Amino acid sequence: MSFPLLTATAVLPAVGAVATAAVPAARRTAAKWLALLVSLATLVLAAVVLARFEPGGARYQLTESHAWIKEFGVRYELGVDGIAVALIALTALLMPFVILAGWHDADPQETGSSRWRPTQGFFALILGVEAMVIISFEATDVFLFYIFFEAMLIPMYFLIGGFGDRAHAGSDEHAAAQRSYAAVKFLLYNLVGGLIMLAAVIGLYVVAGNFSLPEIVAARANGSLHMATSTERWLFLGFFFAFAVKAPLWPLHTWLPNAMGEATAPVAVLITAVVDKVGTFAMLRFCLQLFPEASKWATPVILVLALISIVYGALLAVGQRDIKRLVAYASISHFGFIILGIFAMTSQGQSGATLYMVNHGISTAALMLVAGFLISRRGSRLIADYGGVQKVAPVLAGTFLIGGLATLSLPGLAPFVSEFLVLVGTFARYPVVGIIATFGIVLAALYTLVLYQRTMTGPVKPEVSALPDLRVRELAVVVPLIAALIFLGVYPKPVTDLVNPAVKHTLSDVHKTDPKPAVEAAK
Amino acid sequence: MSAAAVHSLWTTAADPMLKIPAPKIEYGQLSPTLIVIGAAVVGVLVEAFVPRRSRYYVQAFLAVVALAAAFAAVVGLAAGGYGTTKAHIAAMGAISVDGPALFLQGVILLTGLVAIFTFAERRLDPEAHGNRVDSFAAQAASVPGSDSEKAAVKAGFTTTEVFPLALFAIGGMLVFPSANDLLTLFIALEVFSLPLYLLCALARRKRLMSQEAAVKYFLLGAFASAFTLFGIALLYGYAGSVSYGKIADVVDGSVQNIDPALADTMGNDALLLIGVAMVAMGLLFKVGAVPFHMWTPDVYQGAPTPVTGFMAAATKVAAFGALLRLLYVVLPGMRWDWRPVMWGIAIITMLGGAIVAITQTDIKRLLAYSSIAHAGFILAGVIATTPDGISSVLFYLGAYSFVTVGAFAVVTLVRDAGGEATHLSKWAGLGRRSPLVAAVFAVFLLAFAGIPLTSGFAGKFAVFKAAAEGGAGALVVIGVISSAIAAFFYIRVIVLMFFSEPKADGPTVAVPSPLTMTTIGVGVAVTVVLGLAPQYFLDLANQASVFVR
Amino acid sequence: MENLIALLVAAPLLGAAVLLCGGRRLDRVGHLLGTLLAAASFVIGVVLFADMLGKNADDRTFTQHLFSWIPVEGFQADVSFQLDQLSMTFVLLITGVGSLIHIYSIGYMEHDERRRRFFGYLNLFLAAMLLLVLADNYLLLYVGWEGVGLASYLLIGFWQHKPSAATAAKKAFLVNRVGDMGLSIAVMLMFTTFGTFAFGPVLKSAEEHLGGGATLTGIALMLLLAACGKSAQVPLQSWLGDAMEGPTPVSALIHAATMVTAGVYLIVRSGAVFNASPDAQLVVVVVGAVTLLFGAIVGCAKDDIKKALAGSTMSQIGYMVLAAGLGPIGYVFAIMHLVTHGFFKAGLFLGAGSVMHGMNDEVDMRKYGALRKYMPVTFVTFGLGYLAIIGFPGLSGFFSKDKIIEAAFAKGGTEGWILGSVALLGAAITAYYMTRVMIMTFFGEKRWQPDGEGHEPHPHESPKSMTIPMIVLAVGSVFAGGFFSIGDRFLHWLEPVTEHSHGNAPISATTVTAATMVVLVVGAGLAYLQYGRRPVPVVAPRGSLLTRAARRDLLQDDFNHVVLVRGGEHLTRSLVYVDHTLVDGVVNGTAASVGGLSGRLRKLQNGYARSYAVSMFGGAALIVAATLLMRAV
Repeated sequence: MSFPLLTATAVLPAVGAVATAAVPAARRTAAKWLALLVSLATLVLAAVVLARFEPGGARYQLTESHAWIKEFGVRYELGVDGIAVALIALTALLMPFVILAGWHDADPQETGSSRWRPTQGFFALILGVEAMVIISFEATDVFLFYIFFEAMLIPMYFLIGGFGDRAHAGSDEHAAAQRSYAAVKFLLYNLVGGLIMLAAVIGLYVVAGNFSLPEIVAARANGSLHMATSTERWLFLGFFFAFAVKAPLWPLHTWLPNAMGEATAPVAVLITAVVDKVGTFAMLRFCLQLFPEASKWATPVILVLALISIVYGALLAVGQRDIKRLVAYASISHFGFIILGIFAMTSQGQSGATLYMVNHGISTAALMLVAGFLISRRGSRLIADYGGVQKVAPVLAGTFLIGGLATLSLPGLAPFVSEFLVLVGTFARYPVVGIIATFGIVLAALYTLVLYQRTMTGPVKPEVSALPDLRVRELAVVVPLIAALIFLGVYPKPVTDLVNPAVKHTLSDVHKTDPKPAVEAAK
Repeated sequence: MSAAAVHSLWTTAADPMLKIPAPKIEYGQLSPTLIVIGAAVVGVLVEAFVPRRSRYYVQAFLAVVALAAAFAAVVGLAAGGYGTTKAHIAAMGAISVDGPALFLQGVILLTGLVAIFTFAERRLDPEAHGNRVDSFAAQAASVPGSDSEKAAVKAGFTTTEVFPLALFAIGGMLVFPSANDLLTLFIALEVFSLPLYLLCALARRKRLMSQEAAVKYFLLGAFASAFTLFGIALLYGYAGSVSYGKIADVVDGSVQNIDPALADTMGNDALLLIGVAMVAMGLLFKVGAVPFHMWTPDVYQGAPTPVTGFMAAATKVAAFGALLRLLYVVLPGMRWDWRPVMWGIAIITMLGGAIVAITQTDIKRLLAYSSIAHAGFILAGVIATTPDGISSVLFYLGAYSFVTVGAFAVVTLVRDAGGEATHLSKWAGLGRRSPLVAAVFAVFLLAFAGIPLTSGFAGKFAVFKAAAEGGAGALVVIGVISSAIAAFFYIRVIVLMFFSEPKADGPTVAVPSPLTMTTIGVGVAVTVVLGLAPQYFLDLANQASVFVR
Repeated sequence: MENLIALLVAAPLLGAAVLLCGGRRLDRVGHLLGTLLAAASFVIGVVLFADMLGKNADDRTFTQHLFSWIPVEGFQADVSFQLDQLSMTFVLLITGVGSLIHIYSIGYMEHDERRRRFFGYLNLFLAAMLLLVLADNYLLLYVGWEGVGLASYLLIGFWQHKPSAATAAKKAFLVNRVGDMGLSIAVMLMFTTFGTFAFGPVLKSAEEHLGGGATLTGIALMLLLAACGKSAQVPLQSWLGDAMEGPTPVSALIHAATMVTAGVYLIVRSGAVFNASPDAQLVVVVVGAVTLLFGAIVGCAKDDIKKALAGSTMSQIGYMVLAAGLGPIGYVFAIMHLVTHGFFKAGLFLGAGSVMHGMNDEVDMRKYGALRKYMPVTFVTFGLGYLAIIGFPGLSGFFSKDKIIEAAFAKGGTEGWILGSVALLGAAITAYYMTRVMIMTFFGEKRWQPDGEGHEPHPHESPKSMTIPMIVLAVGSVFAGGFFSIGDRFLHWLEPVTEHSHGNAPISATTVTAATMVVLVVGAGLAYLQYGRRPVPVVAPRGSLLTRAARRDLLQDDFNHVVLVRGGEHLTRSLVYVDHTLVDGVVNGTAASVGGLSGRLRKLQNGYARSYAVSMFGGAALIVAATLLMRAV
């Protein structure tokens, strides 16, 4: 038996989480370093996965399969395709930055409480989330996926509710109430989604008799597994609902602004850049593959919802007064693009959507983490409390601008590539939808530039006049992210090469081929 | 055993054509029950003869040994194949020795064992007059607040009768799911109910509430028993027998010869239907299904917490065992009649328990409503009417009972000047003060909520899967909706514990003795193991899922 | 040799990267480094130009493929360059004028503490602009297209502490984004129609499908939308006036000479597409004609020297767009006017900058006057630019504008008459407003006064680093047109790329020239009568309705404000409300109603054993009834 690389990639952060949690109360810094090292080691493992993966090879690679719960037909089955590899790499890549950015977020405010170890807890929970996210990207067994899809809510919940942003208006009690409202809302929304999916998971078992994705897909393809049309649709809806909550798709999105607003910036990044990606990833992997016909049946409605997400999220971002909530609504808009790309059912759309997941992760991380640095300096999340920061902290402002430009998909930065692919992929099949979605790029410019203008430019407000510029640790977070944005904007080939074969498989699962150009171009 | 003897008298009296044969009792196969009841009797003698000072130790030791020995006997029987190939009906048709019976007996004994540890806990309450005290009243007979009570406290009296009472209750519970005729069922019901009524009244603190709970429990329990008895009579009228097997034969029409003495009633479906409804009602009362659940919150709240934990876990196991046997052995032939009704009950139980729990402010009442909701989930598995349905229910019961005992054990730890601080507002900020205790309780709550990687999820998945396979897809959907509602209040408690600032006058967490620690530890261990690697136990439940007929 | 193409872009890009990331250490040499790299790019351009001249007209297209940019199934976007005569023209214009303006900025920005960053942005602009004109496909062009937008955004808002500058920058980017939307839709349409968006195949296919119907018209119109955004054509012109908030060298380089002409480049480059769609061409000429007049009218009313020039820029680009819309008759002249305009308009702006430099950054022409005495070099160079732009015979503008007017008439039919007349009318207005600028600034009495703090301006000539570029540009303004026109040199140079055809003008070229001369004299004379013969009031008179409207950019901004800004604000505000009350409300409402139900059900649990017993009894009765009912059914 070969070395279980995929398991190791997930187990390492899990073990790291336990170890971090066990660090004695007084050794807070040691816990931080431990967490950072573990996340780096995980990154190395992820790099090994990336290196060992052959884009043109078998559909699922590095597979592992062990009996687990025979009774439920559940196997411990792991395997990655290009999409999963890309997202694992993204997760592993972002984690060290998340940890580094949150270095001081969980320092206890008052000393003396010897048994309460928030710092250890904070970093352990982050690693725990990483482990669960990675394994959900790896799982090819529906049940195994479901378990971690649900279980990751718990550490996320504690991260949101337990380590809220200290920058808030109003009293501590009010802030605590807001925070716990956000955490509960996050959990309940996702739990309801997950439980409805549970019903569908059970239904799938009743129909298919096992949970293995490749087996079910193969059985459906060769006709040995027949699913009645209505059954397939119900099951699809059950799965899709959960993923749409997580993604988050309009109108199931309202938990995200609360969660991202109240959580610390690194946790907000964890939510939107990593955890939410599981939702869109799962649409691509589970919804489309398990229920191809139902997916096509639901496409019109989903496209409309995605369009609404794009425009509505962007418009609401324009109307926000809170920096982090603005980024949250921007993310809702972006997730609309991702879902649009997935359900356009074209190579460009789906490759673009996958690329979008990666790029959005990096760009949101860059923007949100810089925003977090800014907020932690001034102690306020309100846009109106800033002005003229550019003058006192030019590097911070500059990196913030680059993050913003990435968010508005400026060509040359990574998100442009994915957004354009999604648009072109959508347009190829649904021109009107594509054109409406294009309005998103104007609105994105609007909310980004309004945010930048109000916070960074203009006369220097007295309250911000003494803000220090980015420190070394903070630069260490931001610079690599920006470098990645530029690199993937100029040379996205490594990712597209990874993703293309997987997309091809998925498209053939749903029996869709790309629309042919109307005219054969002259050579 | 007396119950068996009485039983055979009844059956032979109903059949005057035969001579009365000498009763044949397979003592070995009944050994778990016999050991427990025997120990209970010894316990009574201990109360009478052993000096007060050493009674606590002797009783506790006796109870633990008896339960351990009985469990060993169950394991032995199971290993000997009595759960599978050698399953049969012992004690002249009164007791079944089969998979479900042994499995549930094992669960009851283990639950009882860990629960007994919390009975024996004497470190939580502050010492009174130099004596360590447990959760139970110093002298049950004295009026609350009276001089005699004060004197008893001062003298350091303890109510060590709780141990034999618990053993009697466990003894009854062991018989309940293995009873193979209606009279044995009824007697077992009374044998385990009466000690519970008493135990409920014995709280050291808040005694009036405790006594009120006991009275309510007793009154309503008697009411339910009366229904059950009435139902048994009707069923006898219908089938001419109280034996499960014979009733089943009449139901599915394989026996036609009508007893002339019962010519007017035998085969009358109205009797069957009403009788079944009445007997089922008695069992549903015990499991706490809506609308027979009303006693649950009051009794759970009033009873001493160790008793609540024991009762909540073990009673449910025993009662569901009996219900399964009734529905699967006696009534498989009329499942088209009872299934719709049970559907309805399952639905209102799941939804009712979950919805009402939302607005509870007392942790014990909250857990009571939670237990009601769980009864609904288990009913969904019961309704499946497949072997998977049986095994999933068995598994669920095993998983659930340990979570329950553990959760109530944690409740005993959180105390303020007035004893246990059960009002939810007092749990605010517990996670900051005692992260470990709060974390453990959070694990139990998550298991209740059915979050993956806990036993609660495995159990819920098992019953829902069985229900879906049994054609009850709609029930599964309602089940997940109830789960979502239920999640709200479990999460509320977690929010309180972790995200609220601790109050200055908040409760403290008592440091328990290794006894309670063991209870909680076992609870956590089972919760996690059944969550991560449930396969072995699912196999066990699977093997044990065949009823002997 | 072809491998040098990438270097054209790389040199300024490197400069931008180094200057922007380099930190304070580079403050002392940053401007020199930036200028050096711009000049390096110019030198490379010249080398390539020389190489190109050495080849046959048919072999003058150089290509360089760098790497495959976005390879996805059925979709191929490359980073590869195409250097032909058209892009070569632009390369020389961009790097040439760009280098001059770098040099000028050394002096102009001397006292700005963020000068290094300014040069970084300028370099970034050059790189993006070169990418725009060198790309061999529309997607890569799009990168340059938005890249120049970004540079423009950064430079307009360079003095970010001024809220007006920040707002203007944002506005420019946003309006341009609307145009960009058009470009991306155009690219998408190309992809779905032809399966590619590389210039070669797309244009070839378009040619083959002449009269290709709605799709090609769609592509053309979307390209036009993009061009309107970038080139400040109606209806997306509103940003250009505000863009004058940027430092003056920026106005000269980006908002006069190069970036704003990118729209013309796009239309000319996509000539085949437009040729295939007469409907789209009609829209193009209408846009050009309307903007031509619009910009000219606005230019007449502005007292801010830069805004008056901005109106002029808009108007002149209107000429170019008009010419481009005429098809093969006009392409060459559009580009020729573009190049000459690049010289004289950059010169004019630099002159304006020089004036401001000497006048404490005062921009109101009503507070100038008589400056010719104080700033002789500026006066002469500005004056030459003035003569060039109004089309004074022999100077650059004369040649290029005249050709456009001619071509407009040559369009033929009523259309030709209308367009030609409009172009002529535009020439008259041009003469009017430029004369007005000239007189108000350099002639008459001095009208400047001490500012609020008592500092009186001391007008003085600018330093050498500023005047030399002005002189060079003035030389270009004078001679370029003539040089290009000798033997139709420029026409022959570009023809292989843009094609050229002669229209049938209803009136002779001489007549057109004569007419142009007449309107020129009329326009300039009118301005002289109005401003040269009477003292110019320091406070602007109320003016006629048209004047007031023109001062407000013909109310276009007011329209935008009411409809887009206010409307948008209302929309977002109401959506925020909807999100909170409706979308979130449904969820919270569900939760609340479950909670309410819970509260009510809870009351059933009243603590009385008798109630409980009733409940049990009722339950039992129900069960029995239900069981019996089931059997009955």
